[in-house]
Amino acid sequence: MKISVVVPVYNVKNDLEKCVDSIRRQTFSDIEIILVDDGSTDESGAMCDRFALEDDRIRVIHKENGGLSSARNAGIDVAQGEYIAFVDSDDWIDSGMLQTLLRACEQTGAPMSECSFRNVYADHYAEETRCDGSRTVVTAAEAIESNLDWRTLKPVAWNKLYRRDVIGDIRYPNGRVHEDEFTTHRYYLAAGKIAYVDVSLYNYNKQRDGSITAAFKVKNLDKCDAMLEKLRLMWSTPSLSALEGKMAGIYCYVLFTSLSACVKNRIKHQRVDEVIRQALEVYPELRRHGLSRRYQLCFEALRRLPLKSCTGIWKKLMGG
Amino acid sequence: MEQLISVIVPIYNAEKYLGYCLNSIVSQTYPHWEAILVNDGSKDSSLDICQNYAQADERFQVISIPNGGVSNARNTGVAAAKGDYFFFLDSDDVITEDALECLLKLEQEYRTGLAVGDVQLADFDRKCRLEARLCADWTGDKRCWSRQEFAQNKMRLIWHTSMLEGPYCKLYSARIWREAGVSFPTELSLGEDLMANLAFFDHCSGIAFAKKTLHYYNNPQQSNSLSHKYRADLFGNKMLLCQALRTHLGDWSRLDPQEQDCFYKYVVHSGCCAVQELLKDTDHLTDEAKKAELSQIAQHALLRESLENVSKVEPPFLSWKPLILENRVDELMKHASRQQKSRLRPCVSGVKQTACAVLRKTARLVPPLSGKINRLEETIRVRGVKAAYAEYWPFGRTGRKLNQILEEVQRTSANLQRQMTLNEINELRQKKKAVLIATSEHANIGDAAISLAAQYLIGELYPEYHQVEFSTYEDEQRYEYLQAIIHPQDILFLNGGGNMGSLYPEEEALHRRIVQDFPNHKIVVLPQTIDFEPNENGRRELALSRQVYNSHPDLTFFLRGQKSMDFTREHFPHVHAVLMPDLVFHLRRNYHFERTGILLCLRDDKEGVLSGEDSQTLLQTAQRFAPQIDRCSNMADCMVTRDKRASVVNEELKRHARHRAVITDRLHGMIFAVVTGTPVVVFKSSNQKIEEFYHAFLHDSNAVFYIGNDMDRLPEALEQALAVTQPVYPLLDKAPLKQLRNLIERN
Repeated sequence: MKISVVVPVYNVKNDLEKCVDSIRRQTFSDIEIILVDDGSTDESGAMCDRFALEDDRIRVIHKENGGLSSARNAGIDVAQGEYIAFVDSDDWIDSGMLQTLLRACEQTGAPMSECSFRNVYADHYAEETRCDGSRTVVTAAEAIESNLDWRTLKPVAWNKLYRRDVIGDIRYPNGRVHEDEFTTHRYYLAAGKIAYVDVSLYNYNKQRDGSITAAFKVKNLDKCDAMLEKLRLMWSTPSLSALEGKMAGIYCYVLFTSLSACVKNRIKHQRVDEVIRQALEVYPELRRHGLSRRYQLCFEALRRLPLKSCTGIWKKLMGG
Repeated sequence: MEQLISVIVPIYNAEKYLGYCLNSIVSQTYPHWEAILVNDGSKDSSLDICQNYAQADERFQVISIPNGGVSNARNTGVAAAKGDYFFFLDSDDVITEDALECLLKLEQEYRTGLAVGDVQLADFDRKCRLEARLCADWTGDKRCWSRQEFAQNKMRLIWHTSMLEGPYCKLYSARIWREAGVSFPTELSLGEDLMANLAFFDHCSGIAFAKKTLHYYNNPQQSNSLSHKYRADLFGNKMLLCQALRTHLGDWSRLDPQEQDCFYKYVVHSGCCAVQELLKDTDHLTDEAKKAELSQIAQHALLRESLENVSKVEPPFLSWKPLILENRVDELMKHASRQQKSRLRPCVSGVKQTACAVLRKTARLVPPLSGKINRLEETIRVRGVKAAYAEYWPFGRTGRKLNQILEEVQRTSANLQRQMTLNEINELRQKKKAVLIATSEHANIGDAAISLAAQYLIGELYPEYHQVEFSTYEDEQRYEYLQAIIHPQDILFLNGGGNMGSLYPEEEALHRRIVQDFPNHKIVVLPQTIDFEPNENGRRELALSRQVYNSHPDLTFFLRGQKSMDFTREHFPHVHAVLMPDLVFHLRRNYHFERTGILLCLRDDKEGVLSGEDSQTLLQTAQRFAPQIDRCSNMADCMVTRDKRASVVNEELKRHARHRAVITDRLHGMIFAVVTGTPVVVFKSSNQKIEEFYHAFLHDSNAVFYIGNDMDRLPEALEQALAVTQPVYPLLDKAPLKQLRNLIERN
């Protein structure tokens, strides 16, 4: 078997069929489809079983609810394919996606490949993107830089094909959101080189329920941890040292906007204190690596003033 | 066995939109397709893009031929196609993801050999949809026509929907195509696709309709194309095509009269379009050459026959019939060029580019933001500025710049949504209408209130008239609608306010234009203040306006003060002038809110006079009387479009009604105070609006204190204002708002 497609499923009865159909219709057919029912409370779980009866390439795992990360991990653990792809169950893929990504890997020798995607809101047309179909091979550092700039390659799990050895024992962080911000760069580093195909083949459903793009919640602070982890990795990895400055800026930006959002949404939680403590701990090291005057002032405010009084200052410092 | 669909894409220098097009093929839910990309000797990177896609997905096949025209390219594609069905797609268009699936299902259900979907115009640069080309309801509920029904309705289908003209969004049976020996004629420069269609129609067993938009035809607005060249013999070619169409329709005398009429309409429209193209030509033809060509056109037998027999000429060529039939070439030229040149406001163009440029600049200034900005830029590129706004606002100072751009975008898209169909135009043209022109859709709540009051009052006074509104933000196309729907008994109302004169030249130009373009209609200017500055600019504007207003036979001005009345009598003696307070007073009602604090309503635009020092004094004085001081500026934080108007104005009125007194230098601050029965202290603003208005309608009120620019009188006035318990407005109560209609009809 060539490719395992892992689909975490949680209460998506309205979107699931479209998703699974799009995988079943792939022009590349030597695949298994692993539907991981993450303790759905609607009929999604039963739907999965029904699909499995219709198509013997489909396998279903029912498990206790544990979040997106744990569902993906469970899928990885049982996957038998040479390659693994992830599709979220609110989304769907174009019929040639697996074939195209697989061919990109095999023809370039890259163990990992990635394609463009389109955000779908109400209807497909308005979100069609402009691509040139080109295929490029990049190093891990280039891929990570592209992630930071939000250019061609994106820090998301689902527009990619991973050879099994790239996944290795890297897993998604259980119980955390922004899970792909924790892992994507590690997969890039494990792969060493990545083929990128500039064709939109993945349809990202922007109208998904309970999307994390909604109001700021305390769990969104996970992003600060993800950024800090990435920053530390860059400090310790010589091949990524060129990205340190950019990463530091992004960490600071994410940190101060997240904390501001906490104040705005009146979030009081030990996680907030934890994030602040970590930030103040890392501050001296940030300064050693060179931190812009603007963010130094932001940190000084954080160190000396109550959080509430900081937000106005931060806004002024970062606003424009 | 699954049916294979061959998607044939002729490509010539299409790099700009080719990616959109090919992605839309890749995204098809029906997977059994092959795409034949016929590169017709492109000189740009189109061939590379094609080969990239072929490398990514083997269902793409690339054929490269020397440039030989679109018909040749399509024929080449057909020859290489192995599918059971053909589907033609142009390289700058896209199809919806279910297009192939939907058409194939239709074909499998009805087996007609021809299935069609609706085509909609779109502008990919702006990512917006334009009006539909095919009215889906025109064919009724029927999903399928037999061969005979099809033959009997063909001309109607061509005229009403233009769906039969191109090969777009149609699934053709490959078997029938080959058996009928159809090909695109390569010798024609125009209408080659219609000819191929006609050849196919005779052999298919009917036609099935998807009744759903499956294809977006990219029609970017080339608003700033400076040069335009008339294609030599465009008119001749169009007429040849019409002749061919007539031959195809068969025995003319046995043709249904409605079909005949549609044919005539088609010919007239083709001819007039060619004339329009000819007149648009900028520098390739002299006026003399254009005139000579026009004379030739006016003598063309088929066009003349059609003009004489057609039941009605459709807009925008309404008035061209006599001009062409009587060979009045000069008038035709003048008319057509005026249609092109005059615009209410320039169309928005390049909004996205501007937005992206602003963002890139910001990205350089604030490097840590660059990740977010790239994301934002992509959103703008992919989904448009409006969507970016929804997702990423607020965005600090960048946001404020973006805000202005977004306002433009909103305006444009609002206008696009207001496009009318032919049916609506016809319906409106039959009705007696009260047309409200130059209403406000910008952020000024005062102006919004005037528009709202006018809307209400005219609705009450003219119940038997249908109300139509054209705001100052409408673009040229809407103005053409105004000309198309006008009925001889319509009354045109120009919205009131303080914008007559030289201070707002665009608005004044609009007033003049309406008065000039509708010499035979009753025109009413709702309560205005007139202010022409005593300088060069003011004199120039006045001279223009004088000429226009004095030559209209039925023009009524309602004026908000004596100075404006005197000015009108002196400069516009032919105009019927009547003193009338602002229509906003029509919104007066009793408010029973608990009142606390003082509301400061100060302006900061070009009419304000208060210096920084004065405003400091003012604030301190007010604070002596009440601890709670609120501020407002009568400006909304977004555009007050017509659907938001009532709610925004009501909120603002309630705000005034919750305070014990208002201090203002804004006319509408004063008016809102009076409307809500709130005592008010008023300063002078730089022009005469407030003073004049006060003296005409409010100087006898016990609750309005006008102190000119004498700040020393403020404490005393404020003290008196706060002491008022029962505000009265005797003069205003006598104002003949409800008599408006009688005054207009001069009874």
